[in-house]
Amino acid sequence: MDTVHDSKLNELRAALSAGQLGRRDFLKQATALGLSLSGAIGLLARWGASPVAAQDAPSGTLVIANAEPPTSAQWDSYTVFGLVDAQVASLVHDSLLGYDSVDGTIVGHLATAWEMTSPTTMQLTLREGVTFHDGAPVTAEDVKATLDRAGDPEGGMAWHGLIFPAMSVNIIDATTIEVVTEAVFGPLEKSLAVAPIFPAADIANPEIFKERAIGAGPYKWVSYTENKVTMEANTEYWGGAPGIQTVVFDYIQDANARISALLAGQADIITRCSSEQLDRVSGDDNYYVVDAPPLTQIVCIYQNRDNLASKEVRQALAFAIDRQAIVDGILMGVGKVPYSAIATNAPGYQEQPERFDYNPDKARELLAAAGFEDNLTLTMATTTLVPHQKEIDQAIAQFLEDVGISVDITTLEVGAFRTSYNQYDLTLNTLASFNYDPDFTLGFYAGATAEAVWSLNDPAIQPLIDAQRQASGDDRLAKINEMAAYLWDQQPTLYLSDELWPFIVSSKVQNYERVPVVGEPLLRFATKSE
Amino acid sequence: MLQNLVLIVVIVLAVFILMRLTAGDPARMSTPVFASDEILQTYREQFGTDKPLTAQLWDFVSGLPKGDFGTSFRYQEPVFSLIWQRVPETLLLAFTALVLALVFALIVGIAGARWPGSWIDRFGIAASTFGQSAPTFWIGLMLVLIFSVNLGWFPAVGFTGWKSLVLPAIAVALAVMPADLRVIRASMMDALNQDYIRTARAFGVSEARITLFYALRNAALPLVTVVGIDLGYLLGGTIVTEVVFNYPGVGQLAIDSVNARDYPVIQAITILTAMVFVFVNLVIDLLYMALDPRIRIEA
Repeated sequence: MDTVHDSKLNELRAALSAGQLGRRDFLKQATALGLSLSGAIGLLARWGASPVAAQDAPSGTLVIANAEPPTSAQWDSYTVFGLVDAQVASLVHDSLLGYDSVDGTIVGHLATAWEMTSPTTMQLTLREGVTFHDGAPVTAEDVKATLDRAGDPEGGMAWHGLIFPAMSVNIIDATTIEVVTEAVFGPLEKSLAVAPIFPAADIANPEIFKERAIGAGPYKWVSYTENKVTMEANTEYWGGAPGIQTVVFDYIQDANARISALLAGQADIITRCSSEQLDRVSGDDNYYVVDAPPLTQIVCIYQNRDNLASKEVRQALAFAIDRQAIVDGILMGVGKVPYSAIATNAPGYQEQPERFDYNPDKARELLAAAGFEDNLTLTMATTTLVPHQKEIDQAIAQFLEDVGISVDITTLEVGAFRTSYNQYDLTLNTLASFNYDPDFTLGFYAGATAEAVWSLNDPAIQPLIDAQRQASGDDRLAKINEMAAYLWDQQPTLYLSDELWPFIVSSKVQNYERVPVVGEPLLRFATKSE
Repeated sequence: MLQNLVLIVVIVLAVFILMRLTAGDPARMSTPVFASDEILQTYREQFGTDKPLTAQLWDFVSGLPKGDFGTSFRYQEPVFSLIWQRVPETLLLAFTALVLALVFALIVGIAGARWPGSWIDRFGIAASTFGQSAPTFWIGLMLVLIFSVNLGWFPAVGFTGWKSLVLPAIAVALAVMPADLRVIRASMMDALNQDYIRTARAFGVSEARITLFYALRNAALPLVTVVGIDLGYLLGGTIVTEVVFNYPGVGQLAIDSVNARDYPVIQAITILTAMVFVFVNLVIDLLYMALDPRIRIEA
C-alpha cells in the first residue's frame, strides 16, 4: 500500500475525516506540502471525499453517440466486452479501486485503504455507509460474491484469465477483506479498478442481469429501449452527486448520422471518431476533442504458419511496409506508429533499438535469405471492421508487391470476416486492453488464444508473461518491456499503429475528461450548460 | 390462397437455411477477436446455435403457429415484441412517404398530361428524373445538412415526434414518386385522347370535370398497380433511409440483425415482410375487381 507517513498529511487526513477541513482547503494545503495536484486528489478520494464532486444539484441531459450498441443487452459486466457495456458498467457500478483523475492514478473507491500483505494477498478496508441504488448496503459479502465469481476458473466468466486471475476473497470482518490470488499477479490493482461490485443477490440470480443493472456507482440504470441506455444521477453517491442529471448512450450506426446528430445538437459527444469526422469540426469553437485512448493497437494479424512461420519473412514484412505513410496518408494522423509490441501509451513501453523503419531493400534481402525471391504469395481478407480497412489493406498489399510478395486479397462481409479471418495469412484488426495494463494484450500471445488468433505456439512466451505478472513496480515495467522486445523481434503480427479513439465533445459539456480505460469513470465530474 | 401459403413456407425454409449457410457465427459477432473457445461456446449455448441444424429448425418451426419467433440474440427479448415496437414508426414513415409521393405525382402528373410541354410538365419530368437518379442515402444526407444542421428546422436523427418524420418521408417519397408520376402522366394522356373525352367536350362538360372524373377514373387502374409496387418497395426501401436518419424502425432493426447474425430477428422480419407482401398483392387484386367490373366478370 502506498501509505503516506508524513505526519502533517496525517493531520490533514484527521481534519478531513472530522469535517474540520474542506476539500478545497485540503487540496491547497496538501499541494503546499509538496504533493502534486493529482497526488493530492488521489489521497482525497482515498480518504473519503470526492475531489471535485458537483457543488450544485445534477442538471441537464448528456447524449453520447456510439457506433455500436451493447453487446447483448444483459448487464453482467463480467461476460461482455463492448464499448457500451464498459461505459455503462463504469457509471452504474463502483469498484473497490478506481480512477478520479486523467493521469490514471488509482485511488480508493469502495475501498478506503489497501496494501499487499504478501505477494499473493491484498488486504482492503471497505468504505462504510455506501449503498446500492436499491438502498441495500454494500457489504463484504457482496464483494466476495462478485470477485469469487470473477476469479473462479470454472465460473465461465469471459473476463476471467484476461483481466482477472484465479483468485478468491476472505472476509476478515465487516469492513476488512483479503483478495488472494493463486499466483502473483502484477496488474491486480488495475484489474480491481475495473471490477464492478454487484449485489450478492444478483450474483445468486444471474437471470436478473437480463432485466436491469443495480450498482453503487454515480448513475442509476433506468432503461434500455430503442438502442438507448438511459441513466439518472445517483445523488446519494458517496463521492458526491454527479454534475449531469441524465446520461444517454445512443447507438447511431451510420458515421454520417453520428456527426449530423452532433452538429444538430442531438448528441453531445460522439465516440471513436474518424479523420473525416474530425475535419468537420476542425477550427469550430463549439466542439473540442478528447483522446485518451485505452491501450489500443491496430494490427495486421499474421497466421504464423507455412511461409509466415519464418521470423525472417515476418521481419521482412515489417521492413517492407511504410507504417508512418499509412498513418499519415490514410488514417490522417489519427494513429501513432509504435516501435515496440505494445501501445505507445502502455506502462512499460520503450522504443526498441531496431525500429523496423521502412526499408524495402532490407526486406528483399531478408526474403532472399529465407529463400523467397518474387515467389512468395500471401492471402489477405479485408472488410470494413477497422476504420479505412480497405484502403489500409490495399496499401499493405502494394508495399508487399513492391518487394516481390504477391497478395491475393479477398473482400468479405464483416460477419464472414470475423468468423474466418484466421484462414487468411493477413488480416487487419484491433486489440484493446480493458484494464489499462499491457498484460491484457500480452496474454493473447500464449496458450489457446495464441493458437486461435495467430496460429502461434512459441514456448518462450509464457515464461515472459509469467515474469511480468509476478513482478512489481519498476521491475515489472522492465519485465513488460522484455516481453514486448521479444515480440517485437519476433514480429508475430504487424504492429501498425495505436488507435487514438478521438471523441468529439460539444463545448456545452465542461470538465469532460477520459482516463485510458474503455469506460467513462470521470464522467461524473462533467457538467453541461444548456 | 394455397399458392400463397406454399410461398410463405418456402420463404420460411429458405431464410432459415440461407442464414446458416452464410458465413458468420453469431457467437463470434458478439465477442472480440481474442475470445477463447470456452467463451464462444458459452455464447453458442445461450443462442442455441450449438444444437444440430435439425433441432434448431424444429425449435423455430414449432414456435411459429403460436407466433413465437424466438428470442433475439442481441436484445435478449422476444422477437415478435421487438419487431412490434418498431412497426408503428416504419408504417408511419412508409405511409407518409406514399401519401407525399402520390399527392405530388397526382397533381403534377395530371397537370403535365393536361398541358404537355408546359412549365409544370417540365418541372415534373425534372423532379422525377432527379428522384430516380439520386440515391436515397445521398438525398437523406443533403436534407439533413440543409434542414437539420444548417437551418435547424428538423431533427437530424431519431424519432421524437412529427418533425422527425418530415425529412425521412421526403427522402423515401422522392424514391417512389418518379414511377408514380410517369404512370399517372402517361395513363392520363392516354385517357384524355379517348373518344369519350372528345364526346364529353362536345357536350360542353367542363375541363375540370372531364379531367378529374372521366379521365382520372379510367387512368386509375395503372395507378393501383404502381401503388402496389410502391408498397412492396416501401417494405424494404425504408431500410436505407432509416439508417441514414437513425430512424427507429424495422429496417434499422433488420440491418443491425444481419450485422450481428441475430438469426431469430432476421427470420421473423423476412417472414412477416413476405406475409405483408402477399396480403398487399391480394388487396390489389381485389381492388382491380372493384375498379374495373370487366375483370370481375372475366374472373
